[in-house]
Amino acid sequence: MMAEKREKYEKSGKNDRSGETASSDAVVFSVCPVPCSARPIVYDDSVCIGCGRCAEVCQVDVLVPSAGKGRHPLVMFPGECYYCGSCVMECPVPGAIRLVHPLMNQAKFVPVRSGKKT
Amino acid sequence: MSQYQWPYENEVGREEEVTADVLVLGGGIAGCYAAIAAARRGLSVALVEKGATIRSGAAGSGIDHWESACTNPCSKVTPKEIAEAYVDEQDHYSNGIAHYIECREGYDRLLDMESFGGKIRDTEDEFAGAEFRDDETKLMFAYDYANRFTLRVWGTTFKPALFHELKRLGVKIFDRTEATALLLSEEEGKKRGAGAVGMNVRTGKITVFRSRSTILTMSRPARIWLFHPDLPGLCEFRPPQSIGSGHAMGWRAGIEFTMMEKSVKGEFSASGRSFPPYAAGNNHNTWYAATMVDARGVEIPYVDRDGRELSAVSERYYPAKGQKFFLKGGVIDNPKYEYRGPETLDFEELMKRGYQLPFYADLSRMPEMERRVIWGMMVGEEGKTRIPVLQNYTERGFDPKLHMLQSYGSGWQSASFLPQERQLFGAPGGVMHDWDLRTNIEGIYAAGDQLFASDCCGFAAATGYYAGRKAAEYAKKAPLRDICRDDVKREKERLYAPLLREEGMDWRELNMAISKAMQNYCGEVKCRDLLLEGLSLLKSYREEAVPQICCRNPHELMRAHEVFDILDVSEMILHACLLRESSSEPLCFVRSDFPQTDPQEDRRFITLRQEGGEVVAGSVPLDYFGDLEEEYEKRNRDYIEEARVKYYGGDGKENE
Ligand SMILES: Cc1cc2nc3c(=O)[nH]c(=O)nc-3n(C[C@H](O)[C@H](O)[C@H](O)COP(=O)(O)OP(=O)(O)OC[C@H]3O[C@@H](n4cnc5c(N)ncnc54)[C@H](O)[C@@H]3O)c2cc1C
Ligand code: SF4
Ligand code: SF4
Repeated sequence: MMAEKREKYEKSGKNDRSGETASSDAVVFSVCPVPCSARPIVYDDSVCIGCGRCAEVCQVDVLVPSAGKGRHPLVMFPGECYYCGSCVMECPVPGAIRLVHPLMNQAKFVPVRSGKKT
Repeated sequence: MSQYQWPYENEVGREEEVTADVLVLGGGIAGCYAAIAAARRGLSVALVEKGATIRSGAAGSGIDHWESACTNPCSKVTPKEIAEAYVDEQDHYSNGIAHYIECREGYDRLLDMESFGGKIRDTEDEFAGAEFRDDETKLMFAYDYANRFTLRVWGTTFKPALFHELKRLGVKIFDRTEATALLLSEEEGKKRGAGAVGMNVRTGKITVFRSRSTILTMSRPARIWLFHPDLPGLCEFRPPQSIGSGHAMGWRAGIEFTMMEKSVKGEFSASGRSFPPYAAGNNHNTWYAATMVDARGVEIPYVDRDGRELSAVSERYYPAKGQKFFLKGGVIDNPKYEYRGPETLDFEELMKRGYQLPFYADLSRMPEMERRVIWGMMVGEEGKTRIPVLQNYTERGFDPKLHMLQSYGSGWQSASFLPQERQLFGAPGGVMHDWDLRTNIEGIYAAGDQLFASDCCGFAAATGYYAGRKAAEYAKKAPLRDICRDDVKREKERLYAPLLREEGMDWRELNMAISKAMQNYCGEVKCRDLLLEGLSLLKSYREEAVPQICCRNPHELMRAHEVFDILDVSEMILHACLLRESSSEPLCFVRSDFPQTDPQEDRRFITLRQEGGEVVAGSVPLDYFGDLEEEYEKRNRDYIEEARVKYYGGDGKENE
């Protein structure tokens, strides 16, 4: 494979300090949602107002703004979610965003028992 | 897989220069307080945070208790007593300086927090009349209700409050910017801090920061032994942004570290063998002192340090007969007799007596106030609990009056890790420092989890503020130093390289390989040959795998930089392990080739740093900090006077 990206980058002059003038397509970014066994974040389209606040507070940058205006962010890096809940805590609309731990992490609870020593 | 357009601007190659008197790297609790201290002294401050300061760091989503606030008006202990107890409890492999600062100034930082809008008192009288509450000040206490030096706090309010105060003070906040390297100036053979390089993790823009002094507050290493490529965000206790960049860039710059040979068997990693912290039945930390029952519903007894069974729930919160106070919290695992508090009967003993697994936490048997304060306040204010535990479990139908929550594994970790699955936990290694929290390099300071034998939030806040003061004093006299353009150029080349490859290896593959190598060559039992083997394997990764890493956008690039840092830190750990030629109990350190445990000549801090590609070892006596109170007071006369007036009404009492 040719080192096309590097060549373009070097030609663009962006490795100079004064690179501000160079055109921005020396390196083209691409991204797609990274597959993950879990689905930490689920949006409800019918209530989300697309304000983007959830993505702005996520320290891990799991969520990225969606291209469509007024739409909820995309869960781009679900595997990196730290399950802190900050995004949900920030959301102004109840129910617009949900955070749920992977199935394996949902601890079991049962009705209380008042056992006797045997 | 469909491709999306990258939603942020492309600024690869763009560079800007920022100057500030004081530069803070890391915007967690320590970094925010450091910036506030310097800004209050009238200096210009730049704060660089990889995530979003408003919710970043270990305490981003909350904390529920604040340890060692020994100067609060209800406290029955002195800072000296508690700091010295910590040092003694940790067999002197402890950060006496930082603990003393925590005990002496931690409560001042809480009062600051309150002035910023954080909640530290039960202002709504939700728990009026509770045994753990002082009805006059409305402060609430955890653990030792007699001595009242650990506070229950509403930590979900803390990071936003700090963030707004930073803005109010005019601190320049650089969010979504990873610090990647320290810049040094070298004059007459003497290295000094000159600034740092940062990269925007959304756009790829480079910022060169120039400063008079620099403070490292980037927490501690992670993902060294524990990694899960599918759920990397769950594989450690602290947030995935914090993997020890401060350690790595410090190591590259020649900063001195200590205790890096210490690691413990994993305690938290919710990607596999354990449940998320505070999300399963247990009776520690947030859940102290929950009633525990066995599978039949038979209550598990609490005992005091003498093995005396306690009958009332209330007794779990008081020292034993003849004991002044007890220690509990972050780094206190299995305390010495002197400091041991009430605890459930030992697991082995329970098995002998026929208690049956699984165990459960059963809050229904506790007095109403204790039940409500655990489920609702502590679980709710503690990090990572409000939504994924309190809210979700409630939605699933959990009611603490009706249900009991299962425990897993045999201990409070709710986990069963293998011995080679290790973590830097329980006061691990970090930056070596003096009484100014200064590193061995002039102009560079450190605070919080970045320091050796670090601990908790009070520790981070107090040391952060203290380092901010000292770095500000220095910055007032120090010039802005020239930085070397070649250093910047080399760093840019290093940072961008993975972005300029057409194809190659994903960052996860390298992280996984490093973790496996560390489990194999730096597991529970170490020996020279294995450690050298580990170094040789990591060297081959550096030479062969690092040049293959390929990224498609700045986010992936940030993760790749993290793994490069993890590689540096892993090498530092292997070197540190080689340097200690004996085994040590307090350091959880076993050498099969040097089985002698804690020989007198090795009861010392072994330090290490890098110089010209060589490892330079040093030795520092365990109690190098001297008498804690005396040494502190000698160096902080101005602050003592300032605090007396500001926080204690001029007469040593809290200013209400
Ligand atoms: C879930 C949880 C609950 C806890 N509960 C409690 C509690 O109740 N009481 C208590 O006392 N302690 C608690 N702790 C521990 C306590 O939160 C930490 O010890 C403390 O917050 C550490 O503060 P710090 O500023 O040193 O590090 P952090 O708060 O972790 O901050 C480090 C910051 O540095 C940033 N950073 C990392 N690398 C870079 C880089 N290269 N460039 C720029 N920025 C970078 C990170 O994004 C982060 O914001 C808890 C920890 C966790 C994880
Ligand atoms: S839970 Fe935390 S880490 Fe996960 S998406 Fe929300 S804010 Fe980000
Ligand atoms: S989920 Fe909430 S915070 Fe996120 S975009 Fe929708 S409304 Fe805004």
